[in-house]
Amino acid sequence: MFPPSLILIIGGLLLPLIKPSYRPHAIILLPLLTLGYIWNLPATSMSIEFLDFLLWPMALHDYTLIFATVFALAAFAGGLFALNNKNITEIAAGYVYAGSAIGATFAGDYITLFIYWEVMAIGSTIVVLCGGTAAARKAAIRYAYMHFLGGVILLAGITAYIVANKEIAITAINFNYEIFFNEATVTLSDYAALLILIGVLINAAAPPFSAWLADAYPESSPSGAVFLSAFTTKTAVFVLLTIFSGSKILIPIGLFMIFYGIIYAMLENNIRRILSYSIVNQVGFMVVGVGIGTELAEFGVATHAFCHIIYKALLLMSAGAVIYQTGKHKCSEVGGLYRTMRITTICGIIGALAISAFPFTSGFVSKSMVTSASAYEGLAFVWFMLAAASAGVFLHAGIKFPWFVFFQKDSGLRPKDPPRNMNYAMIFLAAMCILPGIFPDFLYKLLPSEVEYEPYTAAHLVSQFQLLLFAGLVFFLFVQFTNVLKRTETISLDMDWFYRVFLKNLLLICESAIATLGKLFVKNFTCFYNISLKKIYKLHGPGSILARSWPISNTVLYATILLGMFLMVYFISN
Amino acid sequence: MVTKNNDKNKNQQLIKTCWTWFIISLVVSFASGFFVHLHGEFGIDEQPWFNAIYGFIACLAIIIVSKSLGPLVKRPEKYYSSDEEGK
Repeated sequence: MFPPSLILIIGGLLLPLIKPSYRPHAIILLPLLTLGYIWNLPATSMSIEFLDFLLWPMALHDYTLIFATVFALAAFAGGLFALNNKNITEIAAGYVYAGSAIGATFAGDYITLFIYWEVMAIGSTIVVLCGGTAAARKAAIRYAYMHFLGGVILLAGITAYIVANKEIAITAINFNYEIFFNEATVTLSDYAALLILIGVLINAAAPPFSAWLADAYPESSPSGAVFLSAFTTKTAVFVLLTIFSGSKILIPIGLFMIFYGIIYAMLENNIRRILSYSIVNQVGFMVVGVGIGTELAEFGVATHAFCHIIYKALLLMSAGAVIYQTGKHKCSEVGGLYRTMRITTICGIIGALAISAFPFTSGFVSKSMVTSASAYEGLAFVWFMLAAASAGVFLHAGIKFPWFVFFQKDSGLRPKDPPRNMNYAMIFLAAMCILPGIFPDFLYKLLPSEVEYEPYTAAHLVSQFQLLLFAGLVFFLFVQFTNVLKRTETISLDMDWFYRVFLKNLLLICESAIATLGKLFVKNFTCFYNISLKKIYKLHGPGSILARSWPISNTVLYATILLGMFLMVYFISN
Repeated sequence: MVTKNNDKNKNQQLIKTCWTWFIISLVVSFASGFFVHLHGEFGIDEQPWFNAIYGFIACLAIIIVSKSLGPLVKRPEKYYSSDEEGK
């Protein structure tokens, strides 16, 4: 018996050692083996003794099965898409990364969770590094800093948690932020919960730490981005769902993420950066759902995470296929590719429809659960915001992405569809976007209990069609009659500006201030030093009073006199 | 040259067809709101026209907000790289 994560982690580490001709078999088999093992786990759990603690690396939480399943599927699709990639390091790191994400969903205690958390950070940093460009290297370093910062905060929280509660098992915490306004009642375990929450939220790309995602992911290789999109943020969602479900503070945080994602995606020109911002937007929906915390909301979050991983990987694959075939990264450089990239276009559109929660795609059955949960709880503001955001998703990801990449103007580019394995990976995921849309039970079976929710009612269908189609109308009216949505060759400043420019300049200013002070000090000190040196020289210089040499006989004489005096005093006192 | 013109004509034909079908689907979805009872929790969302109008206004608002944020956050592409190379 062994934890399911080990298949991908050890397999991934051994991958570079396997003969290149056998590697494709291993790449395909490892995630499938993991999936098979997850679905046929031995009934007994296992524990490992570590220091004074018992670790539980094979615990089954409520949503372990659905998250572990989709992580294994994403690893499979990502591996298939990367099959023609010569850079085996990237696939190996991707598999270690995927394996540790699966491990995190099975972690029954905080120490195990933390270990997998850090392995994920290392694996994903290597995937970003494999982008291969100088920009990718710099982005990878910033990415690593951010995630190790999150890891340290999480570790501090876990340590405080262990000290306060004398146990390491992962249990639900109802985090109430209001408690911190009254200092008398705050205990160590409240601070522990706060630190754990912050550590997890950094990985979920919550504000003010959301910039790392859109900074790093677009710098990776076409296949690397597929791996990156699947695991980090969704593992954070899993942990939030398992520990912090019903913590009301998450609702405003999630709403912020939703609109931040939409607005930045609207401004962006880089194809994969649009999709990266849309990850933040989608994770925002999940964070809101965790904050609502009812059973329907929790189910919505888990199924939405499942669907999101699939359609986001599909969208990044179709964007990756375009980049792979054309070498162009920006909306303003492509367009009209539907003529020759038929499969990529169709798969991209299916992914775009699924992310927009179009009826008969996976997004529709999952997102409507979160929205409905807010309505049933009477959270009017949240519901209106989520409805507006659903329209906004269609705008920035559902139409903007396929429109500017595959249609729009004719860029004159006539690339073919990508190599076969990439096509298969896209077709596989496209099928996985439609299947749960038509047969929602396929998804609902992965949930811990029976779902009493019917997505396909006439009312749901009509309201969703109205919302989306009229959102589309706004887009096409703007495209047809104005220049407002025309892509500009710009980037958008994000929170990373603070550490890439502000803090750096602050550091440079401090550096020059210290240098000036130093010069001033040296100048004045030299003056003082010279004067003191002269005085010291007078006393200690050659031939001066304290530097003269004394014959040894004098010393003996003085010592004898002293001893003689001592003897006399001794006699007299007796 | 002839084929290029043909291509252009064909394209415009296609765009026209797309718009026609799009407008038809808009009308159908809007009209069907009046035949289906929408279960709203907040009153206004039970109105047959609510989702259409709301979707329209929400998107308009999103475009206006993001457009007006443009001057504040948009920078030339070399913004970071020139800074990093310069120092």
